[in-house]
Amino acid sequence: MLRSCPIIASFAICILVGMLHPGLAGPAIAQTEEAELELRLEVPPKLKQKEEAQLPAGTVFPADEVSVILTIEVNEEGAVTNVVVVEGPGEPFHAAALAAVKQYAFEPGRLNTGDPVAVTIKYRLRFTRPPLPPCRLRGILRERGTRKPLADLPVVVRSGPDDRVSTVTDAKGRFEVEIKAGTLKVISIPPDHQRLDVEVQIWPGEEVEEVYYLLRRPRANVTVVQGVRIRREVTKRVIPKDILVQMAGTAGDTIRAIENLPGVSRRPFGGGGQLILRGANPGDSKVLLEGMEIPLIYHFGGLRSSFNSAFLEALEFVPGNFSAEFGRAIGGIVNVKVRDPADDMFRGELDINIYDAGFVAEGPVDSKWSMGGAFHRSYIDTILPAFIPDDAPLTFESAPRYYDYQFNAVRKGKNNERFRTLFYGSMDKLVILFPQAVGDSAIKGELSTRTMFHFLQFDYRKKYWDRLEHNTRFRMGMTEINFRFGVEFFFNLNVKSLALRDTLSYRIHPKLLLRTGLDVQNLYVEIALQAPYRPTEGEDRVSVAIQEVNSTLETLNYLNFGSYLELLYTPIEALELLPSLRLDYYQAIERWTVDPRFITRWTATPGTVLKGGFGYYQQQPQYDRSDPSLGNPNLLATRSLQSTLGFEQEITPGVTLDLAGFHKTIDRGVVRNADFGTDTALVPYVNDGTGRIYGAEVLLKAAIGERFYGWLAYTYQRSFRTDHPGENERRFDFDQPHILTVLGTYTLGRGWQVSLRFRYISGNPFTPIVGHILDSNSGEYIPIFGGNNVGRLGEFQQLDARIDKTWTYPNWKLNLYLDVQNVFMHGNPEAMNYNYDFTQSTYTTGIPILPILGLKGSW
Amino acid sequence: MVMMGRILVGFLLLTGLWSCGEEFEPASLLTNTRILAVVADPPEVGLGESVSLRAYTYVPPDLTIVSEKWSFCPIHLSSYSNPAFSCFSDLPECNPELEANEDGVVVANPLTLALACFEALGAEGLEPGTEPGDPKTEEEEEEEKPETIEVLFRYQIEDSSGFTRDAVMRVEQHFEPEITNPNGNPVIMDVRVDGTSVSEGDVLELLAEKETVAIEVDLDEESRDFYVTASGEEYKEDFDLSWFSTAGRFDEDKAVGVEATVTFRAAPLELDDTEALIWVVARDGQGGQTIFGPITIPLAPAAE
Repeated sequence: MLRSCPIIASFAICILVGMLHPGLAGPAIAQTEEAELELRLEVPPKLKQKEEAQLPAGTVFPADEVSVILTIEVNEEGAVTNVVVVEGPGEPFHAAALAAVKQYAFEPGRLNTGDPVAVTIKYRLRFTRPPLPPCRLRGILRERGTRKPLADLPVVVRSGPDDRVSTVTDAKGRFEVEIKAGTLKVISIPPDHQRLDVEVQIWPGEEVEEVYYLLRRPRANVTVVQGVRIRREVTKRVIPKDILVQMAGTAGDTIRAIENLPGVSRRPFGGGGQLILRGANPGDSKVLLEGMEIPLIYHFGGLRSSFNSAFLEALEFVPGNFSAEFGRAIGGIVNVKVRDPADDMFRGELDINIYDAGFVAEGPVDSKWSMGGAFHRSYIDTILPAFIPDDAPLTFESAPRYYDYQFNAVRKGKNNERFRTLFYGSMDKLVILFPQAVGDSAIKGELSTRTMFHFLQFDYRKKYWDRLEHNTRFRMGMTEINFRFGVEFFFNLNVKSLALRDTLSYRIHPKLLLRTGLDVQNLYVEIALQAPYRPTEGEDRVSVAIQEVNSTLETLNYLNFGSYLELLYTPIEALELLPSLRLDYYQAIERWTVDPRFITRWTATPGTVLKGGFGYYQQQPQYDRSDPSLGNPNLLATRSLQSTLGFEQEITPGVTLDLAGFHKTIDRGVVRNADFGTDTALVPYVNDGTGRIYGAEVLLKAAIGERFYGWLAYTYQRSFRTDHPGENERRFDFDQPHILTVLGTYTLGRGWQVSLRFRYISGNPFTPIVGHILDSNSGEYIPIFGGNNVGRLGEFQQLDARIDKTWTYPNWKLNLYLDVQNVFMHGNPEAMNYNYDFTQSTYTTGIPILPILGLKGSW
Repeated sequence: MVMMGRILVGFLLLTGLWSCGEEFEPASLLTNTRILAVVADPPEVGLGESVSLRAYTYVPPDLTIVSEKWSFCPIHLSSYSNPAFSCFSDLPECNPELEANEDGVVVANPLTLALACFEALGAEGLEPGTEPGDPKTEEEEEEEKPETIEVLFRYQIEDSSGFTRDAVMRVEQHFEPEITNPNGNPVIMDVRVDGTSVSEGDVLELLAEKETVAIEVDLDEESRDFYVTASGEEYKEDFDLSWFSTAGRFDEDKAVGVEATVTFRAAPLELDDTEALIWVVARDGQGGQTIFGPITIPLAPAAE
C-alpha cells in the first residue's frame, strides 16, 4: 500500500479571518469609549497529530511527486471540521488526502488576546512516488551449440543511466544481480565469443531467469600460454583431437591423422593396420591405448580406426627414442589418450557417413561419477553387394562389416584421484565366395575372416602428498582371429590376456624425479594353423599354390615382464637429463633384455630447445617366428641402437619449427634361414638380419589464431637391410626417401571450414621379375626375381580436400562434411601387376577418388 | 599377435590376387608357344617304380620347336629359393638330361637317377641335408630318413623365334614299394559342346562371330582321390580345370569341380582367326593332371 510522503514540506496558510470571525474581518470602526484592542491571529494552528495518507495499491503516479491543495477548517479545539480539495491531480489522491486530513489534530489558532479561534487554512499535501522494489535477474551464459558454461566472464546489468551492477559468472556460467526494475540492459564481452547485449523487461519485485547462448568466434590473435611439463622423449608430438578431427583425408578419424606427421611412411594400399615409423618394419611399432597395446588399429581397408575418435583426447606420437616406460618395440610408439566423459552435462553425438554410422552419449551421474558410451557400425555390407556386377569373380556372402564400442566411466576424488573403467571392443568380418579360382589356383572357395577383441581396463591414479604419484592400469580381455580360405588354409587364434601397468613417480628433490614401473603381460594362446609360412620383410612372394604348408595345433602361455627406472635430473631449470633403464623378460624365447637409454632437453632460450637421445631398444620375435612348431624358439630379441639430435624453435607465437636427425642400427633381425631353401627340416628363421636407418625430420607448425592451423612435414629417410652376412645390402620394403605432407585447416566463419592436404611420397621399392617357370603341378607360373627391391615404383602424389559446414543452434550443433581423397584422381602406383606368366606388367593403382559425405550432430 | 594374423591374411590375399589382370590378355588365350601341361603317369611312384612324362605344348602355326630338353633333379630347393624349385646341386649327375622316345614320352626311374646323384655327391664328400664332417649314427639317419621325397622333372623348349618356355613337374617318390592310396591322374569321362559329345581332334561346326557355344566337361568322380593335409586332415581332391584356346574367349578361364561348363564366345577375333583350337587341362592339386584336346571350332571371318 502506497503511503503518503511522510513529510509535509510546507504549507501555506491563508488566514481567512474575516470569514470565521466577523469581528476580525476588515477594518473595523470601533466606537467605544475607550480605544478598542485590535484583534488579530497571533498563533496560527499548529499540526500536532497527522495521519498518513493511504493510497490504494497500484496507484500510478503521474509524476514522482504530486500535491493536493486543501482548505482545512480548524475549530477552537483544534479539530478539523471541514476539508475541501482546492486543487489536485485527481483520484485517488484527493480521497486519500481528504481521509487523512480529516484525522489531523491541531493546536488551535490563538488571537493576540490568547483566545483560541477557529481558523481556515490552506494546506498542501504532497505525495511522493515510493521507491520501487528491486527486481532480481538470474542469468546463465553458455556456449552456443555445445552448451558449455562460460565461466569467469564479467557481466554488466544496467537499469537506467545511473543504476548499474557488475558481476562475474561462476564456474557454471551463472550470475545473479538485484537491480531497479525496468528495461534492463545486459552486457557481456567475452574474449572468445560473440558480444552479449540484450534488453530484458522486468517489473519491480520480479525475479527472472535467462539463459544466453553465445557463439564462439575465431579471433585474430590468441595468446597461447605454454606450461612447463616434464618431457621424457626426444621427439614427442601431442596433437589435440579438435585439430585432428577436421583434417582433410582422414574422414574425421583421429588415429589416421598420424600419417601426416614426419617419420611416418605411407602404408601400402590395402595394408590397413600397418604403422611404418622411421624405417622400421610394420609390427616393430606399437599403438597403445593409455599404455596398453591395441591388437587392431584399423578396421578393414584402414578407413576407420577401431577406437571411436569421440573419446580420444589426444595422440602422443613418438617415432623413436621413446622413454623406458615403453618397450617391446624397436620402431615408434603411438599412445592414444582417452578423455574423461563429460561431467558438466549430458552430451551426445551422432555421426553418419557413406560407409558407417556411430553415436556417442556421455554425462555426469553425480558429483563424482561421469559415464559415456560409443558405438560404431559399418553398413558397407548392405550397400556393397548392389555394386558388385553379376559376372564378378566373387560374391559376398558377408560383405565387409565391422563394429566397435567403448564404455568409459570415471570417478574423480580429492588429490587428483581418479578411477576409470574402460570397456571396449571391435569386430571385423568378411566372407567372400570365389566360385572359380581367381589368379592363384589356391585362391578359390570360401574366404572368411573375422577379427575381434574385447577388453576391460581399469585405471587408478592418485597423488599422495605433493611428491608421490601412483598410477595403476589393469586390463583383461580376449582377442580372436579366425581365417579360412578354401579347404587348405586356416588360421584360428584365441588369446586371453592380462596386462598390468603400474607407475610410481616420486620427487626426491626439487631437481630430482624418480619414476619406476612395471609393464607386464600374460597371454594365453590357443592357435590352430594350416597355411604357408608368413613371408619376412624383403622376401619375394610366389604363388600360394606352390608354397609349403605349415600346420600346428597348440596351446601356449606367454609371459612378458617389463620394468623400468627413470631418473629425471634438472640441474638447472632449463636442462633436463633423463637416464633410464628398461628390463624385459620374454617367456616365448626365455630371454632377458636390458635397454639403457638417455634423453636430454635443454631450453637454450625461451623459444629454443635443443634435444637429443640415444639408447637400446629390443623386441622379441613375432610369435610365429619363435613358435616351436612354426619357427625357431632359440631366437634372440631383435635389437636396435637409436640416436636422435635436434632442436625446436618457436619462430613466432603460434609458429614452431621442429627439426631432428636420427640414426638407427638393427642387429639380430629375424630373417629366413638361407639354408631353409635346401632343407625345410631346418629352423626356418635365424637372427642374421641387420639394418641401418638414417634421416631427418622437419615439422613446421603454424597456428594463427583460431582460424588457421596447419603444418608442413618433411622426412628424408633411408632404410636398408642385409639379410645374411656377406650378402649385399638392399632397400627396406618401405624405403621412402622423401615424404612430404602439407596441410592446413582454415575457419572461414559462419560455420564454414576448409582443409587441404597434399602429399608427395617416394614410391616403394619392388623386386623386378626377370623370368618365369611353369609349375605343372599347380598350373601356376613361378616368377624368377631379379635383385631384391632394386626397382622403385613411381612417386605418390595426392591432394585431399575437406569442407565442413556447421550450424550452431542453442543446444546442439550440426556438422555436414565432404571429405574427398585424391581430388585430382591421380593414379598412384601401389604395386606391379603382372600377367599370368610375368611377361607383361603394369601398375596397380590405388583408389582413384574417394568422396566421403558425412553428417554429424552433437549436443 | 593379431597383427601377425592380419599380415598373414593380407599376404594370402595379395599374393593370390596379384595376377588378377583384367587389363591383360587372359591366360586362356594362346598367342605364343606355351607348355599346357606336363603329365606324369603315375603322379607318385613307389620304390623302384618308373614314371612316364609327357609334355603338351602349343606352338603357333608359323613357328617350330628348335630345341627341347628334359632333365631331372632329385632334390629341389623350396619355394623360398629364387627361382623356386631350383635344383640343390649343379653337378651333372644331379641334373641329368633325359631322352624322350619317338612318341615324345620320357620314361624314368627317379630312384635310380637320385642314387646316381647321391653317389656323385658322396664322391665329392657331400651328402644332401648334412654338414661336412657331421657324422650321424645309424639311428639318427633312420629317424631322419623321409618317407617320401619330391623329385623334379624339368622340360625346356625354345621355338624358332627364340622364345623359351620352362616347366617343372614334381613327382612324389615313396620309399615303400607299395603306396597306400596312391594318387592318380584325373579322368575326363566326357566333353560336350552344346550337348554333343566330342573327341580329341574333332572339328566342329562353324561358329559365327560373337556366337557362343557351351562346353561341358565331366570327370570321373572315382578319380577324385583322398589326400591328407599338413594338419593331418583328410580331404577329397577338387579338380581345377583350365581352358585354352587360340582364338575367341571363354567367360571363365578356370573352373572347379567334377562337372564344369564354360561358355566359349567367338569374339573378339583377329582378322586372321579362322579357327579356334581348344584344350582343357584338369588338375587335382596333388600332382595329377590330364588334358583333353584340341577340338577345332572353325570361325567365320571377323568383320573389318
